[in-house]
This record gives sequence, C-alpha cells and structure tokens, in this order.
Amino acid sequence: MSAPKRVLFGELPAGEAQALAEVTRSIALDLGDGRAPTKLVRALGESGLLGFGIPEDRGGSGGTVGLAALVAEELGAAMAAPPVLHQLVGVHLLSQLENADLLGPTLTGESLVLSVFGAGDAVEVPFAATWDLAVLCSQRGTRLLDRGCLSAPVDTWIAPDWRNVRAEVPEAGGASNRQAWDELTSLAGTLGAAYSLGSARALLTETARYVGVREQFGAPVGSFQAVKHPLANAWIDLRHARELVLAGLAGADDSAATDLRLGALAAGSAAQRCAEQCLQAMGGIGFTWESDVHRHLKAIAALRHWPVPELRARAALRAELLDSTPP
Amino acid sequence: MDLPPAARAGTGEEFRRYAREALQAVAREVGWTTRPAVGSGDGYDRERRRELDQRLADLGWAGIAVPQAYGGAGRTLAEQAVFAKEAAALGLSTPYNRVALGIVVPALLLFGTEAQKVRLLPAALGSREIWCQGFSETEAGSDLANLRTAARLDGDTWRISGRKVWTTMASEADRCLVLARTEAGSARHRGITALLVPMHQKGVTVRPITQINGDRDFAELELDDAVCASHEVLGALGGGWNVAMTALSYERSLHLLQRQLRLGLMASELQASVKWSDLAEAGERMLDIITSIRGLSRSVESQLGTLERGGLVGVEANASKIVWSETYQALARLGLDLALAGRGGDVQCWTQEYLSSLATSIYAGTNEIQRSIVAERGMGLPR
Repeated sequence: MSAPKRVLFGELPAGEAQALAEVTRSIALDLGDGRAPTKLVRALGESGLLGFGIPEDRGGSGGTVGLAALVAEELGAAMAAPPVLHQLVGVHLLSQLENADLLGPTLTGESLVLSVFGAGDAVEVPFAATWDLAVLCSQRGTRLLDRGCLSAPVDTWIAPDWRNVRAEVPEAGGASNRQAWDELTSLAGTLGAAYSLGSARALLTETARYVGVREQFGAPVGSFQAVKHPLANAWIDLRHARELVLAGLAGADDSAATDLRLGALAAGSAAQRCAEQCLQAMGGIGFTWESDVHRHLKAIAALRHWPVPELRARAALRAELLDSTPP
Repeated sequence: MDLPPAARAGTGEEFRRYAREALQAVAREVGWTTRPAVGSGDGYDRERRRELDQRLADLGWAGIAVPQAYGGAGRTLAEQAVFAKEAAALGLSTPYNRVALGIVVPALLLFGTEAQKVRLLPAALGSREIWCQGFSETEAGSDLANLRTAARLDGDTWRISGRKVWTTMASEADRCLVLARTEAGSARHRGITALLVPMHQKGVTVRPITQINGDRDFAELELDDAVCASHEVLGALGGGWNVAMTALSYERSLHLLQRQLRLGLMASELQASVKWSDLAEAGERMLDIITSIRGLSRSVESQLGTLERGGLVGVEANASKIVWSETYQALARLGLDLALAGRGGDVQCWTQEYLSSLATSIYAGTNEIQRSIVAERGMGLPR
C-alpha cells in the first residue's frame, strides 16, 4: 500500500516532517514493544518528541499540536504501546498548572503521567500501565489527582500491554471553564485520532499483504471482491477522515476547530471499522492472541471514547451544528 | 459596467469579485432565477442555462483554466475552483455542456492536435457545440475493453458501425467522442481509437431512454455506417484506451468539485429547513453527512492542489467519487424521509433528488469498479 504522500502538518517542509516521522518510528520500533512504556517515553522525551505545542521557554519543543499529532500517528503506525498517549497529552494538561516544576521532568520523559478526563463516580481511564502522577482535566479546570482516587486495574479490554483503571472524581465547585475543557479535549481527541489513523493504516498494510499471499480456491483471497471491497472502503474512509483532521490542524478559525472535532470522530469510527474488516479478512488468525490485530483493535476501540465517550461527543456536536439553526 | 474578461480580471479577492459580477450580470441578462439547490439539478431551466454559458463565453468567462489560444481564459485551476464556487452559489454548479467540459475538453487539451484544439475548443467552451461521449455499449459497460463498435478507413473517411448506450446528452449533441475498434481482430485494450464524430448525419440514430426520474437525458446511439474524416482521430491511432482512461480520470477530479459544491448547498438547505432538536436519529445521520461532505471537500481541494502543481491525481479521485455518490444518496434519503414526515423540505424536490442520486453510483464507472481500482492500485491487492 502506498504511503500517504502528504505528511501531516504543513508547517514543516515535507523533508523535515518525514525525518521527524522516521525518528519517531525508529524509537517506537525499538522500544514500543508492548511492555511498560517507561523506556519508550524516556527516549521520546530525550529526543524532544514529547514537547511539541509547548513553548521552548517552558521546556517544550515549540512548534504546534500538529507536530505532536505527527508523532502520535507514527507511534500508532509502529504499534507502540498506547499508554504513551497519556504522556503526549499529559504535558499539555500539566502546562495549565501553576506548579511549573512538574512539567519539566514530564517533558523529558523522566516522570510518567496519567491523563484523566471528566468527572463522576467511575470515569474509565484506558491505557493505564505505569505512572508517577495523575492529572485531571474536567469542566472545572485542570488539577493533580490523588492516587487514592484511582482503582486497581480492571480487565475491561484484556489488552496485552495496558489496562483500564477507574477514577472516582467528585466534581469540585468553582467556575466552569468550558473553553479550556473544549480545547484540551479536542487536543487529546486529535492526538488519539492521529494514533488511531496510524495504527489502522499499519494494520491495513499488513492485511493487504496477507490477503495477497493467502490462497483459497486456487487464488489469493485478496483477489475476491468480497474481500477486496471492504478493505478498499476502509482505505477510503481513513483517507477522508485524515484529510479532515489535516484541514482542522492547518486552519485557525472556528470552521477548522469544527473540522478537527468532526475529523477526530470520523477517524475513530473509520479506524475501528478498518480494524474489524482486517480481522475478518485475516480469518481465524485475526481472532488469535498471537496476531497483532487485537492490539490494534483494542487501542483503536478504546480511543474512540477517549477523552470523551463518542456518543457524548457526537451529541454535543449535533447540538452545536444542528440545533443552532432553527428552521 | 466595466467588466474585464477573466484573463485580465486581477488576482485573489479581485478575481473572485469579478467572477461574481460576471455571473450575476449574465444571470440578470438572460433572466436566470436561482432556486434552492434541492430539486434543481441538471434538468432545471436548460434553455436559459445554455444561453447563460454562451454569454459568459462572449464576455471571456468560459474555460477559466483553458489556454486563451483555445477560447479559454488561461487562468489557474485554483481560479477555476473560485469561479466554480461563485457559480454554484447562483445554482450554476454544472455547466450546460457538461460532457464536453468534463471529458472532451480535457481529452482535447491533452491529446488533440493544434488544429483540433483551435477548431473545436472555443465552440465547446461556449456551449455552441454540444458534445456527447460514446464509450459504453450493451456488452461493454464496466468491462469497457469489451467494446465492439468498429471503424474502418475508406479512403479519407472513417466508416463506423455499432451501438452505444447510456450516451448522456446525445439528443442535443452536435458531436460525439466515439471509442471504436479500428484494428480488425484486435482484443481488449488494443486496437481502439477515439474518433470525433459529427452527430448530424444519416448514419447516426439517437433513441432517447426514459430514466426512473422521468428525464430523458441519455440515449441509445446507433451508428450505421456513420462517417467522419480520417483526420478526426483524437490521440494516436489505436491509442483510444489511453485517451478514454485519462479523460475519465479528469472527469472524476474536476467534475467532482462541481458535484461536491452542489452537495454542500443541498446539505445546508436541509440543515436550515429542519428543527433538529427532537430528531436525534435523523440528527445522527445528518452529522455523518456533514462529516463526509467536509472530508470530501478537503480531499477534493488537496487533489486540485496536486493537479495545480503538475502532479497526477491517482486513486484519491476514485475514492472521492465513491464518497461523493454515497453521501449524496444518504442525504437524499434523509431529505426525503424528513419531508415525508412533515419535518421540513419539499417532498417532490427530495423525491427527484433521491431518484437522481441512485444513478451516481453507476455512472462514470460503477462504484464496484472504483473500489477494485482503489484496492488494486492504491493498496496493491491482487487483480
């Protein structure tokens, strides 16, 4: 399968973006093998890959969130353990806090962070592996979260390299900061979508290879339209969702912000449909623990509802885009 | 009013303003009424539509990205896109001579001789000569390479016999781009030549076909010893397959812009005509449609950017054709559902759109063929 010609994020010349993608990929392939993400996060931090979108005078790497999304996409494509996303998002949450001491070691990857979104009795937090501090983002603002608020790991997705935990987050008083909440959830959603797009792309490439060599009825199964067309659909949907995310990242107006949110939702559902089709095309092998399909599928499926459950995100967008225009 | 021709209409915002002025002036002059996009497709007020395109050509506003030597304005594809957007806002998303603009003009530009381009392009751009396209046959639809229409050279005349079908605008066309087998005994893609055939002659019979939406926009075309001069070959002798495939790929990426613009207008109209707050299920469908349209529009923009930079658009155009047609169908289905439930919109208009939308996954290469192309050329799956 041909790699996408256009690299995410126009602010870098194509060559530099390509180089950035390659550095990320090689680190992830070396260290992102599904064990605890400590070494991976450290290596990414040492290369300055965790700090895009955070000003250099605050210890970040400068640039924009677009570059962080490029890193996330490549991590997904290399099937790095998804807990690393907590770090990519967490630095942005920590940068909201007054206490600047916490940000530095997080940016260098010395300190691992867990990023928790929302409030309630049992907030699902996917991709929990290991962490030194937990930071909470809710509609009332961003703050550190006590370890005691987090449950022991639960076997929700039974993923080989991560578990869900549940957070008990009583909603604090105080003024709500809707704008910050929207921005930070959109940022996390974008990075998650980028990871899913990369993950689905890699899985689809592997599946295309497999159906090209696996033979039944004397022909490669990929030559049958019943196999070929659903995979083509997956390719098409991923491409269009990615265009929308790209456009949202490139623009700066309200319409770009909407594109970004719609794009993240489209990417999530396209990636999950893609993973399901790949599993189907692989046949029984795709349903085994041994194949990589389930690692992709579980990360993609969980990301679809992170940081905000998809139904809720869609209802909010529906209200915003449709209800505001009375007949 | 002091309206310059498009060739001298400034750049950027100034160009956009002049484009709008030109379109508005001509629309006023011919008495064109802009109606909502829903229910006014290609069949709407065709007489004025044609006159309007002719007047635009008179003023130097036809063929925006076609070189001036051939009757165009010599502007960029990006400027053509600007013009298309302004035109769509007035309900002029598809040009009258749409087969010419979508397929024949790009094919002539790429494969025509200088003499052919000078002779044929200005009249095509100004809707003074209407074109149709004779590719499909009853036994050569998706499997176009199976075509049987044959042409043989008799002195300095090609004599063509065969039967074409689904020929859009054949009833009013002056010329037809015909694919015919010019090499006796040749098979598949070889031995096919593209011929430029006049329609007004004894050997050409047009039998309109009534469609499910009541239109008679396409026809069966019988060629019984139809003739054209020996120099009316487009591209190389035996190179017709390449001409057709290239022309069709242009149809996909450029036509797609116009189609996507009209789809966007219809969606906005539906969005504004319904009270969504108590319609969660319909709202969900609408949200998916909005997402698809925005993704499509970004995708088409990036394809135009590729063409502008001199690159070739590959399977992205095939992918976008699928997304466009299926989104149109989903929108029409939703519009009709809502209209029938008395939740807004006009039942008759949405019925028209629904029926018309069903053709879009069949024409210009069925979506099944498009999917195979995406899978084989985009993803490397085996044939």
